[in-house]
Amino acid sequence: MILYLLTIVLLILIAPILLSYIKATKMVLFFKRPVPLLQGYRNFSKLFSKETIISEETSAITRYAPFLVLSPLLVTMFFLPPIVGGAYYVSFVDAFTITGLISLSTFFLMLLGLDSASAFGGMGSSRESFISALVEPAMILTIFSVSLMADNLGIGQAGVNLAEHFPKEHMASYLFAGISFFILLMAENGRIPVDNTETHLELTMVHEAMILDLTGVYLAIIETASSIKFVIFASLFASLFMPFGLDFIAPIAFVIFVLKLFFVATLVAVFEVNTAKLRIFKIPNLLGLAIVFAFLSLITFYVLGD
Amino acid sequence: MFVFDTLSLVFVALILLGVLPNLFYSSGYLPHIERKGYYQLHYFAFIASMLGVVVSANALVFLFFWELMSLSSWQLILTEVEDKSTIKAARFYFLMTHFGFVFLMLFFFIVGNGNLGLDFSAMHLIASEFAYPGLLFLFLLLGFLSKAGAVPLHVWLPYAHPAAPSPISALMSGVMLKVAIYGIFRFLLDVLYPWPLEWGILILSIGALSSLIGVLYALSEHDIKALLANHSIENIGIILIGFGMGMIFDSLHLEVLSTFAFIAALFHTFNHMSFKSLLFMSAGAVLHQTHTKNMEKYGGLIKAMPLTAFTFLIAAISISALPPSNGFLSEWMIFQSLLDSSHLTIISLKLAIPFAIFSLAMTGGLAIACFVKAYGITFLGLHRSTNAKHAKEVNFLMKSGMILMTAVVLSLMLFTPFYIQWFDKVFVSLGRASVYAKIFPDGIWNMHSIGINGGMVSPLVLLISLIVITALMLFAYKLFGVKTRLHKTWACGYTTSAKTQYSATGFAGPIRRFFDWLYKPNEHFHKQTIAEHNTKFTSAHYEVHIQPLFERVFYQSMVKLTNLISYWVYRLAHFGQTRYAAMIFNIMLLVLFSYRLFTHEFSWALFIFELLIMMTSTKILIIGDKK
Amino acid sequence: MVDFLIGLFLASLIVALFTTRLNGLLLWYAINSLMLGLLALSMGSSIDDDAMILSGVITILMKAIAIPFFLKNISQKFHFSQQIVPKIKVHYAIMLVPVILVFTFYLSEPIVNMIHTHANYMAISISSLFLALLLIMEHSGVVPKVIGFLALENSLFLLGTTATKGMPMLIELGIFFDLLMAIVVINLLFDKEEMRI
Repeated sequence: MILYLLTIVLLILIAPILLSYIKATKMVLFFKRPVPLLQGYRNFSKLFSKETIISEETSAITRYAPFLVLSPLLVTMFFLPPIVGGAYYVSFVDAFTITGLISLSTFFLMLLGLDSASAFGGMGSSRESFISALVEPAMILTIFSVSLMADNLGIGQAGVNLAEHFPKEHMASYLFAGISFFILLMAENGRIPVDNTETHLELTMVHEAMILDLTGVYLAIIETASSIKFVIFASLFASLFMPFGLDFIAPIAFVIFVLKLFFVATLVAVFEVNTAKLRIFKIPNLLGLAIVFAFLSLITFYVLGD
Repeated sequence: MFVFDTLSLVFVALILLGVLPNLFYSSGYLPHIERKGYYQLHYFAFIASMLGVVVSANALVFLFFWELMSLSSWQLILTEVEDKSTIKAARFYFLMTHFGFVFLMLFFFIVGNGNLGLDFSAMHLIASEFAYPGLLFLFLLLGFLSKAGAVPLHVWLPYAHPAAPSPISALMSGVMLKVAIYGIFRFLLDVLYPWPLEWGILILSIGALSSLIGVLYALSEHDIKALLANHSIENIGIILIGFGMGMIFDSLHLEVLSTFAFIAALFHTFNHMSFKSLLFMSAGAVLHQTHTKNMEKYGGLIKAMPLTAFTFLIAAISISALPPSNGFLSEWMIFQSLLDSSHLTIISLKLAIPFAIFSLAMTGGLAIACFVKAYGITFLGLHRSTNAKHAKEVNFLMKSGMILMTAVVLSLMLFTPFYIQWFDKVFVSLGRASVYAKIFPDGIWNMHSIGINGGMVSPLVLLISLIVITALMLFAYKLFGVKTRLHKTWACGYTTSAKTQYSATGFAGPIRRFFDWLYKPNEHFHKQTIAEHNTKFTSAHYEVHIQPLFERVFYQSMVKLTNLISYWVYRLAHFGQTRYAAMIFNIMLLVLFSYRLFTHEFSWALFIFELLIMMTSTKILIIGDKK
Repeated sequence: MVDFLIGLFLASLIVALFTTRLNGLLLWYAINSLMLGLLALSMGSSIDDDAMILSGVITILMKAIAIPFFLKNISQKFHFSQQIVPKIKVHYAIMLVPVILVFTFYLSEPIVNMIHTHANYMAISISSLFLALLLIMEHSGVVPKVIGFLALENSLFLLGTTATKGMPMLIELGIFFDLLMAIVVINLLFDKEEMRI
């Protein structure tokens, strides 16, 4: 139990560092001076000391939505697969629930965008609804197919099963699921081919457009939510697609897991540097690929499995 | 004459749960209606007839109440005739519902051996001896699915439901469709019981198709009630997916799994009743205040109508299947029953089920987008018309109707185990395996899937943890005492106005563009350009209208065919005497030929030869030269 | 391991179907061939078949390195447009690809029962045959068509290796020479085209 709680605290603490790390890696690759790894914390403390400005046009949604964006993600943190063998974990939560919780958070984020009556918010929400409508089915299919391969629909148990018994006989389905999940990881977290969180250009904004009207604590909460979302995806990727290192003793297993997370972050950074932002109507090409692979993974498992 | 077994009682309860809040709402809505007596008479007749359908025990009573239900709801659509489109919608509804009625009657004539007074329980024997059970199944499907609004018999639904007054829309969409689902449950489980695998697959694919098509058209709608009506098609599709899975498992003799899937379908039937009624009530309240169904004229209503906004939000979360709502739970059950099939070895199932999973997953994503649009454009932002500006909260009776319906939604979420226990009894009474103990093996906290390695969900724990974490954060925020300041929305130096907001059309724009190949939209775009510059204009108007593909392709070609036939009938009536003689000649020829062909000996060569002779003689003797 | 490589083979082919850049297409083709070569190597080493190892090495050298470079040079020489937009829209492609795969899984089921290899191999290699044909169909440019043809050849090779545990060396070499000839002919055609302009 103590390891379980420790894991959650560790993941929450490492979340802002991971995002700063991606940024720093990209800057290094662009021959710029990188931001320090603790930049996420600095931003957080700065935003926390500011006052909150709320738009006159907004309603109660803006007062409550930031908390409702963060809380489903925090709940999701409790359902992730274990990172240390023998630790307590919630074994039974399946793909539909986790996707549902993430969608709940996105749902309130989109309402938040529409609440302030600005053109930017509407634009961001509209685009986000488009992207998440395509992401959700792919994600459900991918995680379900991985968990079917691991012989248990619960994600926590699936992670453990994968570490114990690697699905060699379903290697092809497993690979497709991995590709699909990586694309989803990029798409859901506002990474470059889909969204660019670093600019404020209305042509490219998705996530930033929705939260353009927030300041202070509310913005800090939303930023935390997006970093936690990244850490959820990264650790799902690490547990489901790099299932090893569970059977070491606790400190080493922790270190291995953190290294895996940083590896995923590096992968994301390298991928981002090497691609251009897609036009909004080109995004279906990428997400369509994710859907095709997700579906393929499931159907290969279904038809050829057993 | 009447039957009160558990299945009937469950549906009686469903109707009562849907009707009781509606009574309050309807009496609050009454001052708005001119022909009060007329409305009340049909309203209560409608409710009584629905109750009658689900408790009737023989075909005659069933058909009587079924017809009464159709007619009274048809008259209710016509209570508030504002324009031609209402009359057209009512006519369409009348036509479709009688289309279904004819097939039901045929069904009953066959399974009752011509005796309509026969009890349902006695029909099973006759049905099992009938040589072509597939025909019976087809009649049943056409009869009930045309009422339930499954693809491809769904076209009337987005017209008829919005045309009725709001309480009636809530009843029609929330409750009346479920009566058709009751019919499917009753007659498939009771009368046509041992069914082949293909029937289940057929229902599964109809469900998958309906769910996708319903949500896609809902997304492109800007009439709020038509949007909700299209969502009914989607949800009926989801119910049918669950039901189809139940049938598939049953024909493979996996009884426990089959009961699980049936329970999921029944649970979703209840859930859809609750949240769809609530959505129609809230939409009706908005409509009552703003006097328009067009979403582009709403906006900012959350400030004027907080209660309506709150109830709509609850229902929207539930219909989008977001955890921990009741809609989520029933969709979760349906997902689990779909995934429990991974070990089946029949190749047609291996191909059909992943498609159903895919369409269900796709539906979930699109439904979220759709309800963000419906909620955000209606209740958030700035008002887009003066009516929306002067909107107030509706009267107490209507409010209490909405609150009661919210209570029903919440009760379905909080007391899931009790409802499921009850649904379980339905299937036990129909002689099936009991699964309650397997779904809730250790108390009411965790809900298990039945499959070998199924998942689990604990709705109450999810709900409590979400509430606790949110409350803790809110508390911390309050404790922190953050200074808050009000200011205008930042709009790059311009002032924010209703015109700079995103519209409903714009919001659905990207998705509409992606599905352009399906929608084939009619775009109307007028702009007043300045001095021939394409980019400078004083005013612009953009509207997109989408006519459903099915209606365009399927129904309009039907209309063309009917026209063609009636043209020939017309020509036939105006023939000269010689032509009649020629026709008799041809018919004699046909009779002789077919006798020879079908009773004597059959060969394709002969068939083609005789067909050619028939065609030639028809052409020469009857049709003659084209004038 | 073989399963993994076959998966990557199919994956790279599908990604190639969705590519809109010429260089991207070449890259995916190269990866596709590389996977094929590695597959032949690993299969050859596991059943100890020298001929198969040799053809694997040739595949990697020729198809994964030489031909993509060669085609890239041609495309630079003749200034082909980098933009190759598939004629089949992405919405249709999203539906078409799974449908093709499902359909081939359905079709190949009796064949799989007939030949006693792993079910995955046959089904995936037949479906990659169809996907390569789709790649030829959806592009109008010459180079993408050539790549489609080459991908078709790759999937034939895959089918041969997986279904029969190694094609005879001679046939494989013959196919290589055919390929070489085709590339030379293409080059000649382009040269002639340029002279005429």
